Amino acid sequence: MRPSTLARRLAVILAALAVAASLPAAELVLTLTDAASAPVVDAVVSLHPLDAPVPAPGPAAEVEVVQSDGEFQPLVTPIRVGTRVRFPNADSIQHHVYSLSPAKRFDIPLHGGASAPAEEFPLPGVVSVGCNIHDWMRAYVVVLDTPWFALSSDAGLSRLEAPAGRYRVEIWHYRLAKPDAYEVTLAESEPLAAARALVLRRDRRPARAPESGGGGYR
Amino acid sequence: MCPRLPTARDRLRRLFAAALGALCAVILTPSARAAQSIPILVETSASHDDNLGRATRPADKRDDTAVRLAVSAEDARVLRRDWLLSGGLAARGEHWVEFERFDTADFEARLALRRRFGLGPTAPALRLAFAGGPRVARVDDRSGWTGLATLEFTHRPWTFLRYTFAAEGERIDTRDTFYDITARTFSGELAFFPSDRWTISTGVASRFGNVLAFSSPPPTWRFLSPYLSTVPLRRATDFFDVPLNAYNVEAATVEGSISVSYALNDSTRLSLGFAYADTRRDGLRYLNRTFTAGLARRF
Ligand SMILES: [Cu+2]
Repeated sequence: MRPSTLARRLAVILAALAVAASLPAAELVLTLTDAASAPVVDAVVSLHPLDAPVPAPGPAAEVEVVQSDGEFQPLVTPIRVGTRVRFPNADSIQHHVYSLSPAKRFDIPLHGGASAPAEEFPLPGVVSVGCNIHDWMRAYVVVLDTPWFALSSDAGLSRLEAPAGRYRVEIWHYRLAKPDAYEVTLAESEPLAAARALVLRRDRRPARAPESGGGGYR
Repeated sequence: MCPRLPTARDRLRRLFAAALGALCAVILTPSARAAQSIPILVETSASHDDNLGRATRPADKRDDTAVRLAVSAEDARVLRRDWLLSGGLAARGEHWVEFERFDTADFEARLALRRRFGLGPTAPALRLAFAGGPRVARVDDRSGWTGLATLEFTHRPWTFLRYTFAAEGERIDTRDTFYDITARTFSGELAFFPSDRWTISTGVASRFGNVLAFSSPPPTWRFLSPYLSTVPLRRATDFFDVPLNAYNVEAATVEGSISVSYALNDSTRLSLGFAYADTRRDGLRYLNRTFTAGLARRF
């Protein structure tokens, strides 16, 4: 990297940090339910500032999506742009991890117990990850260009802390036809508690249960 | 006292006992494992055939129910991005409740090469598979070797729909060549997946090859005449409750089938199926209606 580029990036990071530090922290507590009023688990809620710049990312973090017992763990991993993701195989059988999503295309065949070098996710977007051997396996890496995001809990609850200000709230879930979005203003005084009902589509992943008559690896 | 030599029946009994023992051992093994090793698939089914002996005369028709148990294990290796090699072993037993002389047990090695044109479940795939191994039959003359080669094209354009075309070549070499089978089958299947639990599939198949057909001796001229010039193979048998002649004939079969299955959970599936087969040869016609209920469980 050229020194001038480095200096410019450092200046942007410092400015963003200064802005973030100068603003008082506010909180959003969002409860997500579906049409049957059941909590929506594994939704990614993110805050995108409307009146302030997004702070520049820090040093690249590294997270793991493990293949264990023939499934990806966790199902949904929200990350900041630039984060590196490793896909270790904890099973003794082989998996062939791939993505065809425009935000990140890759395929890594992984023998039992093996791990490949971490993949960098440089572009924002939803990356659907699958296994080319076991069609039922799937995971989602949600790559965000904001540092303020959370995954909804088993109770459908997401808690986000961010500087006070105006934001676009984005809610992504793999069973939503398109992400849900709306505007909020977060104030320092007290947490903003909100509830949101989502219309979820049917989950259409290939079944894991064996086919009658075997079928083998089709 | 001379020790009695084990008969085919004794061997079959032992095989069933061993298979049941293996099944119990597998079921009792705790399945809550953190790491997945090579999965073992256990399939059981009961199937009712309304014309087991492929008889044409109503008086010769016998229906019966078969119970089947199959245990198999397969593993797969990625050769290159689009190529997958899989192989495994299987043991299968088939027991006919009333006419147990049709019982068989098969041991099979499997090898398959799959080429997917792309990645993921919606990519079309071509698969070449071989399976074969020894067969032990209750009637020793029907013991021997089985072999099956399959070329299959599968495409699942959407998650809810999959179609398959397959060409199959089958060969069964038996101790008594009278029971040898050579056949080729072309088939198509359409499967709907209305949810991740339900599967509804329907298929048609066209088979040409040897079938065993039974008829009471002496066959009337009316029923025998088409055979006389072309079928030298005839055997008096005691497969059924009355003596019937067996004929090994080359015949064309058209079969239609429909099945519905439901996944109870991620490792267990229940299925119900019906098949209608129409076999013809020189003016003779054998009809078979088969109902099957099955349970498959992966451990
Ligand atoms: Cu896999």
